Amino acid sequence: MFRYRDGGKLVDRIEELLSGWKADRGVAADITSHTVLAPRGAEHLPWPPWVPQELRRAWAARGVTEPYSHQAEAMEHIRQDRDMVLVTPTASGKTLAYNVPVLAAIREQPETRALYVFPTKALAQDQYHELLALSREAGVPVRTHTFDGDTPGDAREAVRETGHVVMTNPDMLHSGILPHHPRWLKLFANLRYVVLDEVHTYRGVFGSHMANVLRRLLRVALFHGGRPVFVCCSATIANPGELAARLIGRPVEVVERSGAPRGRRHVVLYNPPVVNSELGIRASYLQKTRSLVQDLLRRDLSVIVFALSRLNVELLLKYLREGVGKEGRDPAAVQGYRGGYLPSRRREIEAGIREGRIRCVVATNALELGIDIGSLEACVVAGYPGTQASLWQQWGRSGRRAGTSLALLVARSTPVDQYLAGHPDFLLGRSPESALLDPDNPCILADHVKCAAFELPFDAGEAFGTLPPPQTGRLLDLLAEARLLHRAGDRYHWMQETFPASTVSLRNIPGQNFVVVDVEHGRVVAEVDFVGAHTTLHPEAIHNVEGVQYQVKRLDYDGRRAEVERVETDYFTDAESYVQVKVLDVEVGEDHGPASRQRGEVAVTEKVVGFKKIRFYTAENVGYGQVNLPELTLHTTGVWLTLGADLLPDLMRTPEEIQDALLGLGRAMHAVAALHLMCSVADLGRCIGDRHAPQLTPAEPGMRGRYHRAEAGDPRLFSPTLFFYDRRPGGVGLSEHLYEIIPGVLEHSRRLVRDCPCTRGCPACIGPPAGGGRELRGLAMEIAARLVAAFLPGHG
Amino acid sequence: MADLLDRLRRHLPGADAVPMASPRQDRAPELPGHLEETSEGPLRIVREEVRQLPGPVPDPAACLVGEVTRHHVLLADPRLAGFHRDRALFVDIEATGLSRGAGTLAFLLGTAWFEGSSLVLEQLLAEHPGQERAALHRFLIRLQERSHFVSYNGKSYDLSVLQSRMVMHRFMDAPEAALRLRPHLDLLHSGRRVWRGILPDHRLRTLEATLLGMVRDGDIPGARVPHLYFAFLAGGDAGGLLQVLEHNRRDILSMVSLSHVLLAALSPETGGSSAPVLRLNRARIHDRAGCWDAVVRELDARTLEGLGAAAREEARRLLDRARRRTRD
Repeated sequence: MFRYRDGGKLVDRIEELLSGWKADRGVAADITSHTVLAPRGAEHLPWPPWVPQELRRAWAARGVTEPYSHQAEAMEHIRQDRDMVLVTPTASGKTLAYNVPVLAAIREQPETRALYVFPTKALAQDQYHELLALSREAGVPVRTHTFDGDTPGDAREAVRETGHVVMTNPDMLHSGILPHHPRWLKLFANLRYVVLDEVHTYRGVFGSHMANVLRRLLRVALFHGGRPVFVCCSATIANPGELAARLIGRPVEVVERSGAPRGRRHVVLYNPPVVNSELGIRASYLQKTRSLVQDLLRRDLSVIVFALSRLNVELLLKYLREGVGKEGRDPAAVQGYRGGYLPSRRREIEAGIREGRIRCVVATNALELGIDIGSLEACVVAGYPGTQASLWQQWGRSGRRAGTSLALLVARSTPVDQYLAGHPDFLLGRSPESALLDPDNPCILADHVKCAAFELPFDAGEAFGTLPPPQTGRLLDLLAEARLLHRAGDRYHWMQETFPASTVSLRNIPGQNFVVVDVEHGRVVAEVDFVGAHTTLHPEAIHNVEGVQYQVKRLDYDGRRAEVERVETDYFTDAESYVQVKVLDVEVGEDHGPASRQRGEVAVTEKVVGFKKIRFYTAENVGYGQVNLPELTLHTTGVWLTLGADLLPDLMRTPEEIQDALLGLGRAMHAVAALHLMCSVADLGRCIGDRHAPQLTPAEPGMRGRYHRAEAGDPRLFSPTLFFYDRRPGGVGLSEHLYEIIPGVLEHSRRLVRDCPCTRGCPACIGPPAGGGRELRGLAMEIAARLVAAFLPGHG
Repeated sequence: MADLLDRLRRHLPGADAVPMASPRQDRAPELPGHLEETSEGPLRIVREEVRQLPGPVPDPAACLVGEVTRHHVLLADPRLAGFHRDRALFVDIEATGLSRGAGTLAFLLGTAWFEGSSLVLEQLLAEHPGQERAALHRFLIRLQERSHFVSYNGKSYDLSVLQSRMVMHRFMDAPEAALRLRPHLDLLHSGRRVWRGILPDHRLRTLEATLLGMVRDGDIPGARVPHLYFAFLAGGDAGGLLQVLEHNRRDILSMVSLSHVLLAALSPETGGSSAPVLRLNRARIHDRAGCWDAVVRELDARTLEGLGAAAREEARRLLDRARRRTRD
């Protein structure tokens, strides 16, 4: 498959392609790195003795005669009732590792029950079909069903009563199953296995929520007599054991060494060339992605392409289809892929890939939440997805078992991507990020103790998972004070008319989806999330769906409905929005001479102001339009540091330099704060500005700070301010906690910058170096040191 | 953690601002009934021998007298065969919310049954959540004595809540606790079949007003019940709870009378009305049950004349079908 005979010689198409690129001056110069990862042979272990013949035969029919070493290890842990986490690259057969012991147990004892939790409905759907097929092939009668918002009423009763394996997602578990646990008596009384897939997604605030949902789950299971074992599956992160253990509140066995074979992998970083050296403008990375992918397709290689946004997916689809069409090949061989597609559509695409009819799939990172897409020879990632874990998971989509594969990253013009292109060891030498969560975040805890009390009254002196009785008791008393709980004797009962789980949202989903309707044909052509609708469904927007263009004729905002008409234009639209942060109320503040810190309530507003019309291919700006849509406002809590004029007068720096150094310091502090708060970097927002300006404008990653001088224009009034806020409505206690630990975070950040091996800045400390060669690392460290001195006067 | 907990106060809602009355030592004298020491602890029981019912049959002795036949067929529930007032338990509960989840407490279990020619009303009240168990336990004893349920919307609500509470108190091993297996006459569901097109809606108040000629005076709306209980728990108002008890009492007595009216309406022999729409409704039920003779009997010329155009169409179709089937 990867090799063909050319004049009697076996040729590897990927290696041939790479030689071709290197020989081509137009491409070679732009390849900034080419690393070859050596192949690894498979390591097998025999089936454990307790695995019945029927299951072995079913797997043999799928070409698996013996499990890989990590599968056998995992199976044995599960069989022995040991909580565990399986950490192996994409599609190394982790499903087998848990389905085998679960099916074996059900076969031996038909009352056995299991709960499989997947982060998305789409994933649960896929796994449902997989288990169903397996149980049929093995002749083990297993009743399984997905249980989510779409499950019809009569099916629900059947699943509750008789379902062996219930497949669900965290939100359904939280509000649909646990609060109604008396109806799930059979499940919980016999619950032996809980499978948590993709646990690396349970990090930050979302992870903290999930950890508490699992505390409630254990509580309910124990009440009914169930004693489940937890099976966690994780992508490669730096701390899988720690994450899993914090998530379930119990120690776990870690199975990390993968026995799955891997062919030789070529990892290539590509940086589009500079086309205008005066302005430093590079060629379009999307166009370069297109041309590289076409090279791959010409050699008949199968490719998966990841793009950063749905718009980019649509553009690539269009460009690629036109490109292959011009070369006389079938444009339908290039398809988009989204988790939001109907299961039947996803099955079609997967079959198309397996059968070779579809040669190229374009997706957003939604695809990294695994599906069985088969063996692809190349993976092209257009634009760095933000974390190494994501990048490697995406790259993991190419090259499954044997033969050579290609993993390619095409850099954007943003500073982070440019830094990576210039410093390939940063990507290849470092270990992936850690995933952290804080199950004892008080705001999140309170929400879930409310739900837990609804599910089962609390006894005085009871613990809540790993939260010891004294703290649990204090929380219960607080809730009783607020009249949410009623204490009768030694018991705390939920005593409100409302249903607590309905007021607690695990995720940050601001609003309802919009429906996109092609009025002429009377069909729904797409569904768009609330936030995305503001930038892609404004009136006159060109909305692309799988390469077909529609223009938005009318937007019914309150009805969450966009009416579109099919069009054919030579341009697409790109909305412009800006974000502002405004302080609503200062709750607590301290002045420490030349510096001050404060915290309080803020409003973060995002407003779409207009859109550009951009021509295809040339990317010329061919027009502009206004947009008049409501703002998206987030009311939350924030914390900010202001540098007074007295802090840095001796340094003789311009406000711009101070601003940029503060920006860099803020970047370092953001990463350090996430560590201390045990949240995800994405759970905090960051911005920079002038405290005296009416509004602060957040700096986007990679964007140099924009700030507004105070109206008077007096330099003495310039008060650079660094700002952090919780990215959840109402805040989740992160800013409050950060306010307390600011001196520690500052000091830690200073040391981080000091000890960084880079020369002028990098994504690991203050961010990629600024243009113009300014030395900002030193200035950033100096600012940090002076701030620490201001907040901790005793500090030398 | 400690002062973060303090800050949490800001995040918590300002509760239902239930006023804190000064703690009283003994609320019991203000509530009716008596406090009984049961094997599961103390329980307040309010018991009454009912002297008068609302509606057309005010004397309990005359209510639901005799065996009603074929109604189970007409209501498409074979388990209702053998329905007799001696076997019936009338049930209406009051709970802390509308949710049927684990955290809804059934603090008042209202029951009624016939003993000979007397109608006994017994309300089991949990003065605080800890007494719910005793109430449920007493209720289980009643369930041993009576086999048929009668409720209003019990199939959707009361039963679900009760079942959930049984599980929560671990009473599920008792055979009586399998509530869904019992024959259940639900006046909402059955009432819809019988009085469709005749009544503007099927709310209990509407049924009472039109079929029993009764309008409640000064009764609390059902939506207030949870709040009144919460207020009582907070050490306040026993008066509110008295209102809940009275509301519950009226609901149950209405149910007893409405059962009588419903079953009578199903059979013309016992005085069921001959209003055309009612006859059409009965014909529909007979049609579904396959009682073709009864369909023909109900849809006589007089009835057809009295129906509106669309209803007459339907009546003709039912007649045709019944006639064809009797021929075969």
